Amino acid sequence: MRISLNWLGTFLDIDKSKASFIADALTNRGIEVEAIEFQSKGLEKVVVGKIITKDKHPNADKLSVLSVDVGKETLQIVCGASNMKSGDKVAVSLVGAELPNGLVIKKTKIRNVESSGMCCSMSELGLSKEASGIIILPENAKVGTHAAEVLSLDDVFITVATPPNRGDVLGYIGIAREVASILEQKINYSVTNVKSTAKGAGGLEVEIKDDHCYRYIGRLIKGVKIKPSPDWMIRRLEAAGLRSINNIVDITNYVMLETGHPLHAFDLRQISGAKIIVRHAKDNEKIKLLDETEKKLRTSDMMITDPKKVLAIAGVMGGIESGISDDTTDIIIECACFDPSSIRLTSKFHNILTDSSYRFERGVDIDFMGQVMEKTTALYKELADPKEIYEPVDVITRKRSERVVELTAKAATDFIGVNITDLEIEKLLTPIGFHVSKTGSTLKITVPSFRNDVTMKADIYEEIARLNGYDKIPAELPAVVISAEFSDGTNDERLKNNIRNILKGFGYLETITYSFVPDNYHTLLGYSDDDVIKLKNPITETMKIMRTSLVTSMLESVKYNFNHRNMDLRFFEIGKTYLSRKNSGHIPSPTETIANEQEYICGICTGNVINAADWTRGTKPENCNFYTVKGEVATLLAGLRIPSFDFVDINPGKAKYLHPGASCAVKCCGKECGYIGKVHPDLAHKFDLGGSDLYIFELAFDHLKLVANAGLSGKELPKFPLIRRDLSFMVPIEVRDDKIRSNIKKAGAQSLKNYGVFDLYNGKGIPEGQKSMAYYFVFGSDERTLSDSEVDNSMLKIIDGLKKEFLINIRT
Amino acid sequence: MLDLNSKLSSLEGALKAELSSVKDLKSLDEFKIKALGKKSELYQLTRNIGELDPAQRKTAGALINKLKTYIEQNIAELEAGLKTDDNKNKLSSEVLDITMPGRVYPLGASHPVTQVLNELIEIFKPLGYSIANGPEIEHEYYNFDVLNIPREHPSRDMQDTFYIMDNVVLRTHTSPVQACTMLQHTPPVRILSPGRVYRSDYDVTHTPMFHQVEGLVVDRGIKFSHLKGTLLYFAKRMFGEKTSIRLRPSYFPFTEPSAELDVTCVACKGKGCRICKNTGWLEILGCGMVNPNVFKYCNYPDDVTGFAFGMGIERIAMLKYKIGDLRSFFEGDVRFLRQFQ
Ligand SMILES: [Zn+2]
Repeated sequence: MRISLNWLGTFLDIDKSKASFIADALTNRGIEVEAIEFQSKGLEKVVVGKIITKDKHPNADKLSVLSVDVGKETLQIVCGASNMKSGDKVAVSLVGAELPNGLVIKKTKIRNVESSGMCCSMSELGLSKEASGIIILPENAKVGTHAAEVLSLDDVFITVATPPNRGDVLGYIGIAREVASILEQKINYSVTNVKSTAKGAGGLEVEIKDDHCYRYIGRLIKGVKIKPSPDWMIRRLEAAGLRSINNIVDITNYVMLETGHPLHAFDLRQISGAKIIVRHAKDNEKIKLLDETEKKLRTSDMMITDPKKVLAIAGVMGGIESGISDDTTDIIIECACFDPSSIRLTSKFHNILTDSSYRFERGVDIDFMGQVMEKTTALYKELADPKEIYEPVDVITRKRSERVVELTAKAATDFIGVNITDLEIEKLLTPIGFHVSKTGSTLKITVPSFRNDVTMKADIYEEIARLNGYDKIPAELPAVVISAEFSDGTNDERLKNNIRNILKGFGYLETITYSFVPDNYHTLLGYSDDDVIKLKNPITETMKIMRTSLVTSMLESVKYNFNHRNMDLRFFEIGKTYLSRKNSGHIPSPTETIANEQEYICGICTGNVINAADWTRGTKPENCNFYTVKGEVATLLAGLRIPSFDFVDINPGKAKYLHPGASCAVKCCGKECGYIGKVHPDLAHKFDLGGSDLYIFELAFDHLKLVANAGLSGKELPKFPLIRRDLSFMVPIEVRDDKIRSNIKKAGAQSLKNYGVFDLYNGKGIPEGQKSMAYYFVFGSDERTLSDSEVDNSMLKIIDGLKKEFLINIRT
Repeated sequence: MLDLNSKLSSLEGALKAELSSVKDLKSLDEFKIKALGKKSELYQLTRNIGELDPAQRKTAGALINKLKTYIEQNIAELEAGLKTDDNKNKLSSEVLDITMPGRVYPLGASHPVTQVLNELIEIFKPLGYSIANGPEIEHEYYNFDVLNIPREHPSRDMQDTFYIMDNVVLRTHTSPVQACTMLQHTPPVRILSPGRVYRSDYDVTHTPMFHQVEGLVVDRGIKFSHLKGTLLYFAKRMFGEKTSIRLRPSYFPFTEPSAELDVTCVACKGKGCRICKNTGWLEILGCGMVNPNVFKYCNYPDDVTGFAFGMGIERIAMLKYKIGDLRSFFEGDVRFLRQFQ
């Protein structure tokens, strides 16, 4: 809400030069001031000028050439307006002025005639948005003085953002109340009852059939004269961003701004039997609103009606038919109180947000409505020349019960942490309308009718803390209480950081991608629609389903990077996948788990694994492949201290997103918990990554966290030297390393400590269908140095074993 | 004897002359053999001592030895000199261009959100906070009702909240974790709940998914001033010792009183700049004393009090690392990620 300090100054003493002090104080009280504007800003170089001569422009019919006396000099100004004559006083923007709308005045030539300045219209001075012609100032304006002074453009505006629970500060009176307590003043606001000129209600009847309407005051006023509002009212409405329409409508808006209570005016002619009925809408009832949109109503919408038809959506917007028109003479003024939630639901459903609904949603002061009506009537009497003012009809369905909160100063002190006394509480709360009385050490605090938000002790503590100032609260730390119970999440975070650090060492970048994916990704991975969790209201087509796997997220990121010419990639994500629990077709109760949320680590790499421009390695790129990723995963698992892990064949039907010949499953402590492999070309193709070799791994974090961080124990180092022997042989290409290793193990060679493959070759010189492999064997004893013959014997055993099982050809 | 004397002196002269022409270690080795080896004249003379008169043997031996020692000394001196020269030559032939780059390994990086989260955990750990996690697909009941967010509250709208079913949502904050923790544990409670949260918003300053960390402390005797102290501690550690804080009253349904926390602008240190809209302050988080209605939902006794605070991790990361566009956090562009090594 944009507040004019001139207007606010009618309720209390305001020194406009202290606007920023007031703004800061309001902000510190929870009414945030977003902007302060000085109306005279930009008008420093706008002065009163007198038109001495007015001539036609030689080269343009619609332009005039004026000579204007601005005091120190006489200027030649080209002007496009036509509403001025010589002798008129006008507002002249001198060369160098920078007007509120951003226009900078320069010496210029218009159609070959020099112009040194500009005669201003209202809108150019930041006043009315609808300007026709330039401003003609009063005759007594002194030439050369500031036009802003003559026009009283000395206002200061502050824009406040009110918290959603503070309906009471959505009007000038509410703001004035807060400012008065800041400045230690009392507000000066009184409403005197307007004498009705006619007895009775003039035939007006009001009936409330919807209990969401708590109170309704209607008043009939006859013989009003529709005319423009006075200037001061237009200015005040415009300061708040409201457009002036005519005196009848403007008065309702004006009183709303002043009191925070929305009002509405109906044309009596359109109301059958002069009877107002507040009721639910009927099914399929329709209304054409003031903004000329038509709305189909729901039965839960509260309506203002007459016995025959709907007139308005209660508290939201009036209908166009019953609105004020140029020939209206008799009006019904409505001042009502509606249930905030009901208004909110209707306003939201029909997507209509008005100044009225905004205020009703936040709650109005039901006890103040009589005065609001009197204030409104007084303005009609003053500005609309009514013939008859009838007595108001006031129907109340729900009375406000007085709210009293009891507390002690000690409790407030303990809660806030600032020492506060009974007297201080009274001094803080009384100026903003609370009543404080004392019995023993207990304070009885009566909440004013306009503070719908204050219902309990904590609310009063907030008032005390806020009015006393949050800056006065000391900063202290509570004593540390550590409970052994809560530790699970901390360990998880530590393990995740271990994973990140190890992967970081391999050059992996951590990424975070959206949890939702397009609605076909799960089918690419073999999931059915029943498996997934769908959003009812997705924000875009690409964010419709909760992801079932991180794999598609990784592929999407690869695609994004390829599109940005980043070709060598390795990145990973630690994040959740979401699967439906299938049985939950029904609405789950709060004790049920809704979805299977599982955490995974998923990494992908493609292209060169090392810095492509590294002279120490030569110019040959080293592309990642299945074995680089497998090795990284093995190193990762070892680094996480998983006591045992293995890489095995993928069970048929599983992990179909991987290349069947270049993929494996990962087993940790006997349980399968992940996959490694080349992305299946079919899937890569779906992401337009057809030609690229992509290697991916995924590991179930939920399993890793159960088996990781095995205990460590140091062992004695070998005392006697180890002996290494190598063996290379040719073997049919289909014989796998795991078969050879298990054969070696089976041979039971004595003192064999360690063994494994160290070379593979199947290029030139190796017969078709064969490959050359080289294994190393490390022998050692804890008791003595082994002799050559002992090692030879062991090697013979191994070779025998290999020969028995495979067609191998030992190479020497 | 005279004969031997003259022989030795002419030998000495010859050897000295030859030694003076030795310029490297290799010819010095050759000279050693020639002068002192088994075929050398000196050796021959030594062997011939036996043929002399016994009376003359001693003197002759001494004379020969003297020459031998003299030659050996000369050789040793020359050798030491030549070795030093040789080392120098060798070192100078091994000079590298140390301005060439070394072998650099491609180092990965944690996501900036992770880095800020880790920092937050490190900051709050010493104060006794544990980490509590919970589901992201959540009952409306825990996401709203328990937190005293009324049925018609704007945040429940389809425009703001993603719905899965009529009463199931993607959590809009990590507060349900706090509620569930309170429902499962009696006070005292002191937790930090980090994680992904979802809101239906998508532009430069909003993404439909982002990360939050919320803190909750519940015990007997917890005061508003404890909240302020905790936030001051946090702000100084996160943004530097010189950071000041400012609490402004605000409104959240689950806290009463509520406040917003401003910290000294990280860019201008409080002088006022474009980032802080010339206020010198930056809004960092929302907080407050837990609303008694929330305690009621969690069946907590009347005499406990507590405070809660919640912040967006991306917001902190944007301020700390000067990141302009929120969306860049989730695009996965490796050029963006690599900046956070
Ligand atoms: Zn700044």
